Amino acid sequence: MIFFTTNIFIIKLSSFIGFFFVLTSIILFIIIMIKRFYLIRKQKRDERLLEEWRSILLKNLYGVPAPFKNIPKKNISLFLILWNNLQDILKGPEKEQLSQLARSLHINHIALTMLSSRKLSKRLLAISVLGNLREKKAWSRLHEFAKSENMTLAITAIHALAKIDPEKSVTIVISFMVHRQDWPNYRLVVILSEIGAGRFSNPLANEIRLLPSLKQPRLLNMMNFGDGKVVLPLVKQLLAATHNNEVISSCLNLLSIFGDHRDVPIVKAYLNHKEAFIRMWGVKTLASIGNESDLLALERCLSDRDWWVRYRAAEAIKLLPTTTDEKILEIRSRQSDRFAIDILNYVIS
Amino acid sequence: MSSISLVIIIFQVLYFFYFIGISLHYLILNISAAFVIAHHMEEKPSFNRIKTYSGFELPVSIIVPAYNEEKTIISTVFSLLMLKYPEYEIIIVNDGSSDNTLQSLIERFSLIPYPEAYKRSLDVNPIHTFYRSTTHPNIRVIDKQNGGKSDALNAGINLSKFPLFCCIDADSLLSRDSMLHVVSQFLDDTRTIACGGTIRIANGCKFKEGQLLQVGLSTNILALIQTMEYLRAFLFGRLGWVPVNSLLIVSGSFSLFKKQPVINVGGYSTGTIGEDMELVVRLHRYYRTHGIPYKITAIPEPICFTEAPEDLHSLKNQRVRWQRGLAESLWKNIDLLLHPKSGFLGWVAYPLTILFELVGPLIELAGYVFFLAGYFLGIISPQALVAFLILAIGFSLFISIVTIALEEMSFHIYPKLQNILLLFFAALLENCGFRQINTVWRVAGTMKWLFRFKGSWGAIERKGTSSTI
Repeated sequence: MIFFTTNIFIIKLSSFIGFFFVLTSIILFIIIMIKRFYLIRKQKRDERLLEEWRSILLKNLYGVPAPFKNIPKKNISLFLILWNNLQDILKGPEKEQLSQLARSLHINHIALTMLSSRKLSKRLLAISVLGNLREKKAWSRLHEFAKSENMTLAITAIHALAKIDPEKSVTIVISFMVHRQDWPNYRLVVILSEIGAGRFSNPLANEIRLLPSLKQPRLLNMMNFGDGKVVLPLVKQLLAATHNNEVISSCLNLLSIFGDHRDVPIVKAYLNHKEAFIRMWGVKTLASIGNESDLLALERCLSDRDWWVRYRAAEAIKLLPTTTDEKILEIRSRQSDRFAIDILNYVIS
Repeated sequence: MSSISLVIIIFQVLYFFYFIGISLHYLILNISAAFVIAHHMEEKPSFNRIKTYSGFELPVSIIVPAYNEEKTIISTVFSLLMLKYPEYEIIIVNDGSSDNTLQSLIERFSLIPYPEAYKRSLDVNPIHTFYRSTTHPNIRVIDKQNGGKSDALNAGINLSKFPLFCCIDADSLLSRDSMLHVVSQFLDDTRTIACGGTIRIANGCKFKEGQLLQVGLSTNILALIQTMEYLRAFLFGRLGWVPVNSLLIVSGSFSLFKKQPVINVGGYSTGTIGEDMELVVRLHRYYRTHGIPYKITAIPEPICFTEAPEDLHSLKNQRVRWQRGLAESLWKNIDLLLHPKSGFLGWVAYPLTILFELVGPLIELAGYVFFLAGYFLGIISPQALVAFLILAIGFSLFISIVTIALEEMSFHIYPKLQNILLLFFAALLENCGFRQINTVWRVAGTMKWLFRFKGSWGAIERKGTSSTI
């Protein structure tokens, strides 16, 4: 027999590599066990510390003086996580008191130093703390972080800026929202709610007006959380000018939130649109702002060629304040279209 | 040199390169997965701080195909009802079960028949009755003629109302925040069309009304070994491919898809056993060959628990089925292999999957036969046999221990020191018998695919081995 199986060198090499893997596995396993042992101990110690700190923090918040022992440097992240969590839970004066307590412990300086950490998780933690502390000294560094390519880092920094100075942050936030199309809406909404509808609605509406229609829908969706007095004129202006279907559907959605029965004629114009999803949005909006007098328009949509339009029309009819089971049966008896009858049967059930 | 010697030399050279190749392949996947996990763990605390709903969470239709699942279906639905998610519906598809699956659902959730009007986007077998729950408005049940899991899933897609649908097995139990974790992938990157979760073994864990109370390990050796296998499969086998958008499978036990892309490619293929993998590969093929940007991803969070078979017969059926599914999926989408537009997936991931996952078991089995036959015929010395065994077992053990290390650097969900010790023994045991048997089953699966045996649901004997309080 030739080659590997009789070649002593190959056999020895194979044995050596095999033993190397076995030995490395055993060493790795021992390391894992030791790490786990320390992890379990650390978890127990952390739980004890958290309990102790939570109790001291709460006592201080409610006027019972309880001094802090020095927080060891190695446990500072743990303390900051606890402090951040309490910030998320508390509201009003307690929140401010918690910030003062943190300042008295020089947490702001510690967090500013942590901004230079090489670990992303530490930087993220420090940014959140500085935001909650409304630490103005951190503004320029946070602004730099907001330009980062790392989305989480950038958004966390923007959020912190919005907490530190909502008024000043509006233009920055909106400028980033326009240019960073990759940022997810659900994260931006949290920031906008921090800033407040009263502050962001006008500048955002102005920005939307300046954008090409392709870029408008994403920001229009943000207007769900805006001020109705600003949103409605914007929506009417856009609907009068645009032919972009995405813009139309976003505007109809906004009308369903902020509009009232006076806007029904605008909506009805879209019930015969050539695109099914626009007709569907029309029906959906009509369901929100329409009333009994719009029943006939909705009834016509029960025979639409698209299932979703029929379905939304049936749901809309059901949601009208004056609709009763008898009324739906009566509407059904008037239908000659099989699809309309089917969808009404479904709604009745 | 005789022709037999020549054949033996060629065989050895091929085997040698195969071993080097598979070792490098696994090592690179491990490194890639380690990066994914490290990055994920760095950003995780930031994600966890977003506790409130933003209003942008996409509503989800959860589809649960059920075939003879009377023992597990109720706890699965309870687990789904407790999900922390703002808007979702649950569609259970009873695919012609011959046991009391439908009856238990009717009784437990007070189901009544109703006339459904739905958009039939995909062709499915005839539907007998639609039911809705009078106690839980977001539960609907389809009772249909048996047509297999794919057909059941397609029926669920037809009935679903929301833009995302989630497919889960009737024996899967989800963690409460699972949906938030998975949906965040679709919100973070709008190109995402599919996302899989990390599945763990439920055997040995304690559940109450479908909710995980305590993580533990089973004392059944087969379940224990499968725990190790699942760790390896999900922590590096899947996550390793994520950075290069070449993930070829998201588990059918828990996966989330955008509905429209799935309808565009024709839904689940009914002529396939591994419908989950086939769909994902088809999505890759469609999007790559049409040049549409997309992303198929997975998350490392252990968000779904599933029951593993504890007897050899069920396990064998499962593995044979999986291998057939793999073969079918790869064969049906063979256009993707080395396609000019297929990129890294078609030029690297696809060929490697064919080589190491489809053909691999055949090569491995041939290797065992070659070495054993050679030893008994006196061609291979005992020293050579032992040396190569140590090499093969040593490397497999190493990969398993690295997987435990990945788990340690991420979620360490098995809380006790004894758990780690048990996992280590599972890794040892796996290589001393189980791996070899599994190789035989996988070869059998490939053979069955080659000779086109008809498939079925391949039901597993459910024992309820995770304790339910």
